[in-house]
Amino acid sequence: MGCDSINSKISKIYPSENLESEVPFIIIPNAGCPGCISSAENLLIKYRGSNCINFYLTRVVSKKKLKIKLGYDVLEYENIVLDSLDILSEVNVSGFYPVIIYPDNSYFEISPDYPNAVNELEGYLEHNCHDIER
Amino acid sequence: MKFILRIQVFVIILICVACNLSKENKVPFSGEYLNLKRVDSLVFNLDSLSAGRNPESRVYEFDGIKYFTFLNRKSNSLYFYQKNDSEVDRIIPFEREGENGVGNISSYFIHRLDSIFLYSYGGARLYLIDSNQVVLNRYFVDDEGVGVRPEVGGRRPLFKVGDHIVLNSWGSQKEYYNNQDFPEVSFTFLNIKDSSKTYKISYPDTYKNAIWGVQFYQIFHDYNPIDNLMVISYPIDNNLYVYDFNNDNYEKISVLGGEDLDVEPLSYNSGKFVPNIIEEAKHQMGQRYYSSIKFDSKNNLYYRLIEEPFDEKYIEEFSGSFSIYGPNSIEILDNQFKVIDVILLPENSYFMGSMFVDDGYIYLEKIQDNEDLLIFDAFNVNGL
Repeated sequence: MGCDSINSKISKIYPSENLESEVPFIIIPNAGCPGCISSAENLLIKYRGSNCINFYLTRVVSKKKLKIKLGYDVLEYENIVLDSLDILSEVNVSGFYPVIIYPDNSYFEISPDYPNAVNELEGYLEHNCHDIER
Repeated sequence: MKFILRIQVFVIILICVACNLSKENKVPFSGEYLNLKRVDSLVFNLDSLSAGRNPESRVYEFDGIKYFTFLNRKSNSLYFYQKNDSEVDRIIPFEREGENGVGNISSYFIHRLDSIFLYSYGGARLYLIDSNQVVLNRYFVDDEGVGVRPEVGGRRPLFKVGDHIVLNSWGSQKEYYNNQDFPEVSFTFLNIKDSSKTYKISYPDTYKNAIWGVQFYQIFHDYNPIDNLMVISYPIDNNLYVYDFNNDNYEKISVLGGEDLDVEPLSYNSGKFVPNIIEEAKHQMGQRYYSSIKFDSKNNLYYRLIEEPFDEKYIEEFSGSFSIYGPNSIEILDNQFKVIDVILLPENSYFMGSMFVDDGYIYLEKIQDNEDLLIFDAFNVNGL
């Protein structure tokens, strides 16, 4: 397997011209820690359509419930991907919490054990994001 | 503590994607003496804001009409279908804020169409609403330091007896401790006339001297209106417990005739033990334990669900973020709480969280692909 970075593994699974490659992304599991998932979903709603961050929704059981929760157009945004290939297995995490992965391959779970994960991401985006309308 | 507990509870309450029973071959829907025969199906068309697998649903009868109802949390509204009609009959929305605001509704009880009780877990309040969605009364149900905030609905239904609304306040605040005793605060009896609260019922001795974790501390109940009893089921206890509203009596009932379940705790250590959350889930998945109980007023029977263990290979591979419902059986008891039979249900076929009993039939929600339909199969209990 070599030493593929997480980013390169994910981009091999989902090669796409529409996804920015050198930006953070968040993998949000369908089930797990409800408060943690809500935090990640709030980020998704805030940054949908942004070219500064990508979202992968994984292990989704009900597309309809997903759309009811996040909006019927949620999957129409280019930076939001419905994962059908279980990319969480590429990352060495519990699978119970959403996980933020940065371009340098560092990653942090959004969990009670790491309450600053969201703030730090937003700080990162503030400094590094120069949003261009898609 | 309850917030953390709810996080952990949520791991467990979910949908089975691929799990195989590794046990002796048993024919689904058949027990030794009884079997369940599908005799009908109810089909409800769902709008774009509604989805199935919703445990917050109930059947009510008003003015001779039976309604299937459910709570739509997204829109904070109650949906009504006439039981044998596919189309929605009415939708009653409720404001979250403002003069008639009720917060986010977690559960409900419809006494009459002009007297609806709405419970908001987040706000720790019960609201009484009239037919115009006007708030007639508000009741604060949380008393810090007394017990655990009620977490009701689904398999812990709100119900009314006389002037009281009864709320299941499961949880002990110390699910990861080796407890020696428990306070009598597992149920909150709210007097809707004067807003006073009384707390009753403690965890049984079965919970002492071991550490069980959140999942096994759940309490399930149902109300028997014929005998005016509340019947309580604990996941780890073969007994049932009965509260008699006629005389305020509470007693343990030995359930005869069935196979005793032998649920293992997380630990027998003294003090505190908190396992990794995935390990706790796996511990639960590998066991046979009780969950909800339903009363059938037509047949005068009780149906207690048994959660069956998952396949060992599945447990080993479980990582926590898949939604999982396990295999189930239904234990059928007579009105003296003697087991008549235990019937295995087919795996991956039904969502048990929305199971209901009406007019002598057991209704099970079918797991199927069309998310714009809500389908219940109706089963007759044959062999009685």
